[in-house]
Amino acid sequence: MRRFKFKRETLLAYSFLSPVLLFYMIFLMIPVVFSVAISFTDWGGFDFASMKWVGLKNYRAIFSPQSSFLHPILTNTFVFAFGGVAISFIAALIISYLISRMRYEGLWRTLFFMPAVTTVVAIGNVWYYMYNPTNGLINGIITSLGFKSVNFLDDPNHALLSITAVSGWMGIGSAVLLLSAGLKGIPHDYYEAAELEGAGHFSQYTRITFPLLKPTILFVLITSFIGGLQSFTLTMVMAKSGGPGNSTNVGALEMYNQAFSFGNWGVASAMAFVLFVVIFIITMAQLLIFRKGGVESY
Amino acid sequence: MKRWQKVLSGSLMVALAATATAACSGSKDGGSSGKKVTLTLLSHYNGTNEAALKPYIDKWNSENPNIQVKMTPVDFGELLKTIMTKQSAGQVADIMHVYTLWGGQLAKNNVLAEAPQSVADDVAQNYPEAAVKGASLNGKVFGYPTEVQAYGLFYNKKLLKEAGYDAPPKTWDELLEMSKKIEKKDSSGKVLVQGFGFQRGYAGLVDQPFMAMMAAAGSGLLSDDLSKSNLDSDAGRKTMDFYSKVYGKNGITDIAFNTTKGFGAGQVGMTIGAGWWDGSLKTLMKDAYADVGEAPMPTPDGGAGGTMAYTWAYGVNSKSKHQEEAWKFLQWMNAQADDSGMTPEGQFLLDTFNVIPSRKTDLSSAKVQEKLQSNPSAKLFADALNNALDEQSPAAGTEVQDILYKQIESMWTDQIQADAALNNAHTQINAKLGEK
Repeated sequence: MRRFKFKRETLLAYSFLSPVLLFYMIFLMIPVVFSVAISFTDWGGFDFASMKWVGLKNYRAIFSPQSSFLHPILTNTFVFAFGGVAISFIAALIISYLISRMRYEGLWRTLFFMPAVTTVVAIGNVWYYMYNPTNGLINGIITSLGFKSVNFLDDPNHALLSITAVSGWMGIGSAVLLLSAGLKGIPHDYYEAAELEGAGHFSQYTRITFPLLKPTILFVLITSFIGGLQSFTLTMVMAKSGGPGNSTNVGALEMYNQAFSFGNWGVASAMAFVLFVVIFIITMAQLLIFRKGGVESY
Repeated sequence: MKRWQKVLSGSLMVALAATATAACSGSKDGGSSGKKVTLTLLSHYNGTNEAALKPYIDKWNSENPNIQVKMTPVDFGELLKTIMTKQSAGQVADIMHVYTLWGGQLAKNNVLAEAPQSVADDVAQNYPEAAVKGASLNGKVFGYPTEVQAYGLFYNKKLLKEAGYDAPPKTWDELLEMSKKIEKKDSSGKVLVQGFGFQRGYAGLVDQPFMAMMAAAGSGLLSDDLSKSNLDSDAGRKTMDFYSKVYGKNGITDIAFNTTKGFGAGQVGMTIGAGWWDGSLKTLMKDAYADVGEAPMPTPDGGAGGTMAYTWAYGVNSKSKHQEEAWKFLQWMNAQADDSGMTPEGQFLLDTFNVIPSRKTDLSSAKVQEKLQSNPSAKLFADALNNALDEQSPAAGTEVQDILYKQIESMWTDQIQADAALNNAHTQINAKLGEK
């Protein structure tokens, strides 16, 4: 009787879950499996009948010395993702700590969060004009101080860093929001006890705040890295096809161009799979590092 | 189709089930003649252009109650992607207006049907060679050429005069020399007036003038059979050398200056552009448009040279169930002149874009002749079509242009020298052409 009841409950649970499971099946599992399968084919994206099995040819092509996928495209992707996360994370760590000790905390948090709720296209365009070498705001300030204007987006030495800086700036808001929530979760008693023991602000931060904030930090780092490695809209808006040359081209943008502009769906899917493996390894490495540091909740 | 392909396509079809129910577009109305058929027409004519095209479609629909045409407009940037997704989801558009650079890609995937003999003969007899080649795949006509645009030199008469010149340059050396005299910079090195600049932003904007200059120097970018690059030819080397003298460390001007905007603001002496730009400049510059002049492409030695023309064309989907009806409509639209002697397409191009239609019967109409006499710019670009090479469209056409674009941009930003840019582009294009 009990066994029968259990089965009915299980069935009921699955029936409630079925819309969600169906949704994930259709919009996640099938496309993922399909894209892995496409990576072993030559397909122009038009007609399934024209799909041709090519084995590992697409993988060999993207790993060949002539391919620009590993360098500069994947290298750029890492610089973009790590740079963006470094800027947003360090800034957010400082800002969230400071505003948690300021008046009108909610107002400050809202102000810093605003870029996160603005469309990437709008942000990209605003920064594109701010970087403009002839009449942009930033170069206006630089030249008014007596320096030569900087070709932020046309100089391959500056272009990637310029876009990475915007990505970092964009990411500050959501990181501040999460870290502020993490800070609020730390009981105030710890700080009072530390103060009574004579601990200064720096000691309190390094001995109490930072260790107890680690789970939130891990979450912020993992989601930001994944977002950074998958990003392409900002680059597309600010540098069109990843130029000058390939100097700002990133993995997701290259995949998009390979699939939708060149009709190389096999190559694009192979690149997507490689990027998936890279993201997986980095995420696992982050988890491992934090586990060693005492975070067990992820 | 192999078993694994069936499994794959079946899986995707499940995901697309919701949309697939609406599939087959107008094809569900029945096929054979006598029954009412609704044809879908997929084009990038949206917004005001869609409104301008609609009266012609309405006219056809009222005169042909059994063959109705329904417009499906999408933005230019979405057109190829829309064709791709509709084709793979079974929602095929019966008629498609395509940029012929995609021709090789579309041919490789059997998207476009071959034109009937009567259409192929009509196109071969009534359009300039560049347009016929543009609307052909593997030597076979696939549809009617529509917008055929040649490249030429745009210059600002006022700026040239201020620098002491009454006429535009005829040779590339003259062009560089004149641009140095026109160029003005402030004390910090910021460009105030650009002598000559290339427009930038995306592959076509950089590559098409390159191909036009190569054509002016006597060669197409690729061999006639589209199997290899001609960049190592004399014309290719001269063109890359010229390009290397415009931007970069040794360039005559600053790459950061926006040539497109600058020309519209009267701050650029000369640039290369396609004929349609004249209409945009007229709207943008208002009274200052009087300063705009246009001239044939300068050549390396000042002799008669060619240019490059790109083409859009109407074609019929190879999967359409109503190909016969689709061709009937296209023949009416593109080949049937009314009392004024113009085809509906010719009138649409002239009235909407101020573009001279390339069809010979349209060209000989009184309205077009009058336009050619009153508008020197229109005549210049219409005449240029007679010496124009087509924009070649191998299966890897967009990739070939992307390779060339990236090498030119790398050279302009001093990442590589001109020789390396030429060799890299030549080698990579040959490798890409060999793959497809």
